[in-house]
Amino acid sequence: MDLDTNTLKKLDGNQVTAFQTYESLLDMARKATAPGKADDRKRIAAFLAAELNATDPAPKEEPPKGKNNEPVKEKPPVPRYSMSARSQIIQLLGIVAGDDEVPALVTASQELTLREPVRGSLDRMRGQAATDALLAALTDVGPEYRVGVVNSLGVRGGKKVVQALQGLTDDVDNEVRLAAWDALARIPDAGSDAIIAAAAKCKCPVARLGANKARVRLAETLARSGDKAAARRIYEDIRRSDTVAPAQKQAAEIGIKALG
Amino acid sequence: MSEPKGLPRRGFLKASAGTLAAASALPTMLTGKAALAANNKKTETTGASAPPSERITVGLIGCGDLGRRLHLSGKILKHPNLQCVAVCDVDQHHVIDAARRVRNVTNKQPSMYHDFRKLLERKDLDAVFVVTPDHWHALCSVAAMEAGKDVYCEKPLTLTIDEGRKMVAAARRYGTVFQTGSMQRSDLRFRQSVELVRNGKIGKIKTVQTYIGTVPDADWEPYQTPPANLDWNFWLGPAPWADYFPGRCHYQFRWFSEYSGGKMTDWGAHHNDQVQWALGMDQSGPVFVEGTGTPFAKGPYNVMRAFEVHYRYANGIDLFCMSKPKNKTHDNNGILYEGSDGWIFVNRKKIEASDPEILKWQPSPDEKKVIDTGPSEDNWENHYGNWIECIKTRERPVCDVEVGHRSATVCHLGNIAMALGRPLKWDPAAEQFVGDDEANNLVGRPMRAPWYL
Repeated sequence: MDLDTNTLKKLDGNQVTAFQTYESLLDMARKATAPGKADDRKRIAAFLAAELNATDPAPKEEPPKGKNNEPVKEKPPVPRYSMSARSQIIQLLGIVAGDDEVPALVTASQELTLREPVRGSLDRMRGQAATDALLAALTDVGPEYRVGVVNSLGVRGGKKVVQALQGLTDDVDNEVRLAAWDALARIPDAGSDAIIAAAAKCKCPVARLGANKARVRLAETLARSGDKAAARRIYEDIRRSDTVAPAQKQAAEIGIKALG
Repeated sequence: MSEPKGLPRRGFLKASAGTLAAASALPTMLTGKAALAANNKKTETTGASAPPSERITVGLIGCGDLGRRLHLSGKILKHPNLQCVAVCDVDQHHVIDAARRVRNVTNKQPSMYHDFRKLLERKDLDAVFVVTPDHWHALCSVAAMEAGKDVYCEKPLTLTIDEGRKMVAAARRYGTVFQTGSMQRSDLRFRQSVELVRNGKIGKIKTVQTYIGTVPDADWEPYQTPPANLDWNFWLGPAPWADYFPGRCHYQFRWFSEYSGGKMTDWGAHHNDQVQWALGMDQSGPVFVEGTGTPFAKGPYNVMRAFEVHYRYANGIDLFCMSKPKNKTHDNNGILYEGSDGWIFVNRKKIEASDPEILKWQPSPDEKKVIDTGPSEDNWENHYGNWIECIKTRERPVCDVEVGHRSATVCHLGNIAMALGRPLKWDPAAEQFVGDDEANNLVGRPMRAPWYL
């Protein structure tokens, strides 16, 4: 199968054609990730990135005349592919793309329907450009999208990521806060506990539970990274508390026992 | 204060509250699994219900055909030590039917839930059954563990290797008694085959073959509006958005890689799990995998229709997992162990050996290498009983979460090797591919927001 515009346009074909085309492209992308195939991979990634936001002139039609018989302005160019096809291109980029393709993904993410597929692809890409793009996306207004971005950042480390996530722990949106605590719990930074512990004292039972679950996870993350003293402090604090749910208290007991 | 042996969590926590209590001091108002532990009675399936205080209160998450027919009506509602008070499904028809089944047997209306997170908020639940499609197993199970519930989760345990790691971590973190639904580990014939292998009755094992079947092609169905009773967005959950047609869900989900791993995980999770057991690899796995698969000629399924995957373990044993045997010597479904001194073939209907005399051997209690979950011909009864017993004793059941994870991993390794079309080296200790970043990228998948693990 040739990798060209005509092939990608088949993603907008009928159900069968679109499916078969996507499966073939997926196979091509996966094979291009084999050792020694870096050139193939770059070629595929560059082509897909160029096509992702490509446009074509609007279909020609006889424009109605405006006032004083003046022709109406021509319509702006239209995306070459449908949202559905572009979403699939984004998924393919998640397999082959590198830092060079991140700008194209960021451009696509300006469109509401595409931003979650973009986030999913950036999630797979662990280069700094992808991390920076996710950090920038935290300023996006919608909490539904920001929760996903937070989740993707939670699997990365680094000072910038930790600072950004810590900054979200008093976000206006409850779901974003919960996600931020959980994301911080996956990164071995003992400084995060003070923030999450403060949240665990709030009156809202949902938030309290979420914060305590995160504290238990954070303690385990710290123990695994070698900071047993910090892990023990968290576990013992949870054990002492009157407002922690039984399951998290149980987990703290188990954690203390495991620390020895 | 360390956790007293044999005292379940609710009893333990009540005992530790307030002034320090000796391990033998028990709270006075125990219910459910705490009461079971206090009495430390062996579970007996006499047909009559145990007293309410000794019944484990459960919820069912996932009320599809398997959930309703096999688990709920077939087992849970008949078990004297279980009482189902809550059912949950994103398909209203399923949850209403599940509730009807409970009501017909118990004369009590269970609570019906759309969202499993709400079901898990109930303080009266001791445990849950997770019988959802595969792509929901990890999320529902981890949430249940974080809510302090014990878990029985259907196989294949996971959609990805990374999910399995996280489920194991959560189970250890919370001390969960977690049973994977690989009930062949509680089957008399399969257990016999494993004892024979582990006791060297066919000598040194050289190769194992597992035959797990193929899937017929399906026809295309046009995309359509989901029915009003089905919350399609919730059904998809962490999987990428996909337009609905009826053949995409409710049993057929097995043949879509977004939700499952095809026949490789559907039956591989049974037979490859047996191989892991027989080879003593429950905390490990193979070190090499390569495979070829045939996609579907037509229809919407995107898993491999037929395949042959070769695994090698560090001890030199080769496992060949294939859709069907290359010759007609044995049935199309089953496990063939080939050793230096003979062979054994086993499936759900029979066990055969190169020398029938081999099959007469029975291990003495000292020779038993694997957990014997019970003498019943009904492997489900043994499997359920083992889980319930472990809820009392807080020991790990025969198909503990790590066992389920490692067995599912064997299947996922095969699917990844076929997807990438190249041989791969696997480090079972680090649970990573060796020298292949892209393969490691397939160890997990991003979840569609807002879901995460």
